Amino acid sequence: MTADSLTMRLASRRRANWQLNAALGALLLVLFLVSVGIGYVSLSLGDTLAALTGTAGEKLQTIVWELRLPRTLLSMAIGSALGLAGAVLQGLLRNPLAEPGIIGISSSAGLGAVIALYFGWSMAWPLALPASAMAGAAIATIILYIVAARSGSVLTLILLGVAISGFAISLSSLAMNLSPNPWAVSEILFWLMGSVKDRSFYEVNLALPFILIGSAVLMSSGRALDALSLGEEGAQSLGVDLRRLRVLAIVGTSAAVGAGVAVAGTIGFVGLVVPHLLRPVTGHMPSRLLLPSALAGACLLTAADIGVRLLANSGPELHLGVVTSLIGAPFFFYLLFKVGGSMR
Amino acid sequence: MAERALIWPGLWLVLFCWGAGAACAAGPPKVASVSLCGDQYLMMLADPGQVVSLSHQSMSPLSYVKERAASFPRNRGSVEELILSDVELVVLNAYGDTQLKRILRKFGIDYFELPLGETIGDVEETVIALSQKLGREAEGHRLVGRMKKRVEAVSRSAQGGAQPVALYFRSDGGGAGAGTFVDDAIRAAGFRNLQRDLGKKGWGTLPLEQAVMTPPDVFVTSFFDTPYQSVRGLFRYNPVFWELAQKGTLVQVPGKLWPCSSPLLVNAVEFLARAHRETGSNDREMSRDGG
Repeated sequence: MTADSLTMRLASRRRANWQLNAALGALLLVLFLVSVGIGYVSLSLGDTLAALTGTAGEKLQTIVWELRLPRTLLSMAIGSALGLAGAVLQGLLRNPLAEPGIIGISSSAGLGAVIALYFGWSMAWPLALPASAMAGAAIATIILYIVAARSGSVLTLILLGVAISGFAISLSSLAMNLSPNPWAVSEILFWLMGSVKDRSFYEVNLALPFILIGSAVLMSSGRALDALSLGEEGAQSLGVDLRRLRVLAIVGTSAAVGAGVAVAGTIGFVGLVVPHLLRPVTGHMPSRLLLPSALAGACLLTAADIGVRLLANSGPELHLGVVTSLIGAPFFFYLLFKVGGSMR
Repeated sequence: MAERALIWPGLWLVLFCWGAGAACAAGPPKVASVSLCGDQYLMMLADPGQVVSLSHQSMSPLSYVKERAASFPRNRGSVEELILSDVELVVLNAYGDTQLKRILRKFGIDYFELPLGETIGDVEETVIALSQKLGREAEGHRLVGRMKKRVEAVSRSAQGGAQPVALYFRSDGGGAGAGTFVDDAIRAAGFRNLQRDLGKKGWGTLPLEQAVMTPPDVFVTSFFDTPYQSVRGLFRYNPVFWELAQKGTLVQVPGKLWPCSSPLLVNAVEFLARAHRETGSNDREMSRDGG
C-alpha cells in the first residue's frame, strides 16, 4: 500500500466519521423533540414547540420545561456518559465486553449512592449523593484495572465484574436493611434497573456538571487509546504516558457514570451495545469511536425513556434498565458467542 | 398423616369450645400479631391479657398505638418465636406472608388474615370477624357502633356543602383511585377524588403532567411526615408538585392513620372533614382564582 492511498483512506474515514456524527446529532435532536413532546398528557407538535419557545400557556410551559425537559436532559446525559465510558473502557482494557454495568462499576456507584441516601448524608449535604456514588465507581474501576493489568484475559475481567457487581448489590441490600427506613429494601429495584421518572432540575443540577466534566476527561483520552491499541509497549514507544491514560480513564468513568447512577440508578448494557454497533462504521481507531459513542448512547437512552412512557399508559412506568437490558442482553450473548474462541 | 394428627386435636377443641360458648375452659385464645395493621386492631379489640406479642413495627413512627404497644413483647414475625410463645391465633396480612401461613397450618396454629379493605364498610366487617375469633364479639360491635356514629356525624355536616376536588399523593409516589380505602375516606369527608373522576382505579399515581393540566383544589398527602430517607421520597421533592400544592390547599394526613385499612380510617375521615370545612369557608375565593 502506498503512502498516498493510505492518506486517501484516512481522509475518507474522517469524512465518514464526520457524516456519522452529523447523522447521530440530527437523530438526537429529533429524539429530544419527541421526548419533550411525548408524555402522560398529549400535546401537539405545535404546542410543544410553543412551550419550548415560551409562547404557550402556563400549564403547557410547566409540563414541558419542568417535567419533560429535566428527564430528557438526564436521559441524554446519562446515555452519552454510558456510551462514552463503554468505548473508553473497551479501549483501555482491550476487552470487547468491558462496560460499566457488566464489570460492576455501575452497581458500585449504586452502593455509594445507597449509603449516602439511606443514612441521611445527602440530606445534610446534597452533593454527598453524587460524591459517594462517584467514590463507589472509582473504587470498582481501580480494582478492575489492577486485576485486568495483571491478567489480560477477557474471561477474568467478566468474572471479576460478576463478583464486584454481586458484592456491591448485596452490600446495597445490607445497607438498606440496616437503614432506619423499614421499606427501603423495596426500593432495590430502582437501584438495579434505573429510572428518570419525575426528575426535576434539582437532579439535573446535581449530576450534569460531573457528567460533563467526566465526559470531557474521557474524550481527552482518545489519542492515547489509539496508541494503546498497538499494545502497551507499542504505546510507550510512541511516547504515550500510560499512567496518565489510566488516571484519565478512571477519573472520567467514575465521574460520568457515578454521577448518573446517583440520580437515575444503574442502567445496563448501553456502553456495550453502542460502541459495538458503531465500530464497523468508525473503524478500529478508539479515538474515532468516542464522540459517536457518546451521541449514540444519548440517542439509545432517550429512545428507551420515550419507550417506557409510551408503554406506561395502562400501568406503572417500566424502569429504564428493563428496556436497555432487553436490547442489550441478547447482544451480549451474541458477542460472547463471537469472541468465544478467543476467551482464554 | 402427621399433619392430620396435628389438626384433629385442634378441631376437637374448636368444636368443644363452640358447643360450650363463652364458658369454654380454654378462654379467649392467646394471640400475636405479625403486622403493623394487626397491632392496631389488637390494641383496639383484644383483652390485654390475651395478647402474647405484637409485631416489631408496633413501635415504629407509623404505629398509632405505639404508647400502649410499649408494654407488650415484640416478635420479628418468625414461626419459631410464635410456636415457642404458645400462641393460638396469629393476626397477619391477607397479602403476602404465604410461607408463614403454610407453616402455621402445618403446626395447627390458627391465623386471621387482615384484608386490605376498600371501604370503611370493609373495615367494619373485619372488626366483627376478628372480634369473633378473639372471643370479644361485644367489643367488636361496640367499636363498629362508634365508627358508624362518627362517620355519620361527618357526612351530616358535609351534606349539601361544596365538593372540592382532592388529589392524593403518597411520599413514595403512590396515589389512590376508585376501589381504595383512601378514596372512600376522601369522599366520606365531602371531597371529590380527582383520580376516581378521571376513571383511575387502584393505588397508581396520577402523572404530574395530568395534575398540571387539571389541578385539584386540595392536595391530600400522607407519609411525607415520616422521617425516613428514601429514594422515592427524595425524587418526590419535585418542585412542580410543591408549586401546585401551594396554589391549592395542602392537607397532610398523618401517615399513622392509614398505613393499612383499620378502624383508624375513621380518624382520617374526621381529619379530612376538618380540612374540608376550612376549604369550604374559602370556597368562593378559590373559585374566583380558578376562573
